[in-house]
Amino acid sequence: MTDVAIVTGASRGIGAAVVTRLVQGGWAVVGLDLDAPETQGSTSHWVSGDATDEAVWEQAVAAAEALGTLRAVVNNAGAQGRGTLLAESTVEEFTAVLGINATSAFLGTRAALRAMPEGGAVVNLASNAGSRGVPRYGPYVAGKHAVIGLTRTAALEGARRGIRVNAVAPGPTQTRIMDAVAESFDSPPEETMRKLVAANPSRRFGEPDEIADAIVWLLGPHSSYVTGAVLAVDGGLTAA
Amino acid sequence: MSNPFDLTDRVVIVTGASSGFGERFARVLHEAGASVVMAARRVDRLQTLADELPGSMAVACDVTSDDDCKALVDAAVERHGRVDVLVNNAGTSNIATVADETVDQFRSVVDVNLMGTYSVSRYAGLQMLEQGHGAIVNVASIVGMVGLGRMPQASYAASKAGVINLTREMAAQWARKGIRVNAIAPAFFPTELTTELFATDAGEAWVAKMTPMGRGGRDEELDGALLYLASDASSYVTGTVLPVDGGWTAV
Repeated sequence: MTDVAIVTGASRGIGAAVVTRLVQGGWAVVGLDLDAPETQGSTSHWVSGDATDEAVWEQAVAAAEALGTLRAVVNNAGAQGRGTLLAESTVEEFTAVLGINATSAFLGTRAALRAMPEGGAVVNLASNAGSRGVPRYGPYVAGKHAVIGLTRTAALEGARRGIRVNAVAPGPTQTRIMDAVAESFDSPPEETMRKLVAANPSRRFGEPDEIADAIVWLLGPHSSYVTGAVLAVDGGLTAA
Repeated sequence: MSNPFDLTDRVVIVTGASSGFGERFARVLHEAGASVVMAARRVDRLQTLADELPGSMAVACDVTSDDDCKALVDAAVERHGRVDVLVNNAGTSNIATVADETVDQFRSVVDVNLMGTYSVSRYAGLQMLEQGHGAIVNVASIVGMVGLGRMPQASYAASKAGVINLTREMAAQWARKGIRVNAIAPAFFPTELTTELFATDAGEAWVAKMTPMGRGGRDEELDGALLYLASDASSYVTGTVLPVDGGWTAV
């Protein structure tokens, strides 16, 4: 039977890089995202929808089971919110950002724990914002902290059933989330980007492919004793 | 797409290569294409291994001797002209309670595990700074992250915790110079240091109970973490501590 992976946020950035690598590695991939992707050609099946919607997950799991055996879920869908101080944030904003980052990962992890009786692996996308505070991004920070707690607990619940659950914590990565973050500050985006680069020990952003390599490694057999881990791929940001 | 885990023609130093993880690492790195420079005190055992692995070499090195550490890096540079990767694997332990362990015993464990890692890293790092690139992989331990109690070894725990933050600090200092520094934190694997632990049913049961996956690590289960952190697959990873522990530290 073909090994099948579900990847959320698959249409661009890190998600698209993961899809490309998995397909090259012989996986069948069910891609999930709000919009039709640029790289739909390489996915085996596409589900357009919201990763916080249970019905969308039912579709994705059904599609995976039609293609082969579900062996991997990558919960990559996320959004950073508009960049507002907590004092000025609304309940609606907080709930929405928590939802797309944490509830989506919960639903994907739950789907894996339910629909992978033969074992498999889950990788959740955390962030350096999952272990430290970031002014103006409180809802995102809360969501990413939640992802790490979810990952650790799911690892414990899945461990004896052959389901490994890990998180990858990127630092600033060359994706549209970073573009949006740079746009959200008062200073010109180029200035903000320059400051973010200067704040990173490696003096550069990560590339989606560099995050994807970590994710694909955590999905594969060479990480068979790794579970509940949070792997920072951030150029040293959180080590400093 | 080229394989990002490939190490063809990379010059890799492995300390503590005469047994345990180190011997295995030397074989795995050789298999991945690397020219392996193997270091250990027991050079007779190393030479046998070197004869098996074409392109590798054996260097006698006691990592508690700063002169030996310098000579090790010099030997690698003399043979190959550079050092691409350093794997700090040499380590020792002393199972004893804090009440029973002597200060000399404690110090000797710290000397090998922490000071040895520091000395080799420093000389390799100086070479890597000159080259403008390099990767250092430190073999730490989950015992550097959590206390055990059941298997008392404060000297080992303290030394490995030291290795973990040495990893972060070197990473922070050298990131923009092109040198990545990371650590692997294994739980319990079958090695010379764990022979007694796995020799008893009680020891094995304790490991099973403490590990969410319900078992100790298998020999080959560190290979992937090593190759990941040593190769270009982890080109944006530095200062990280990767537990390979079946979930032990996720609890």
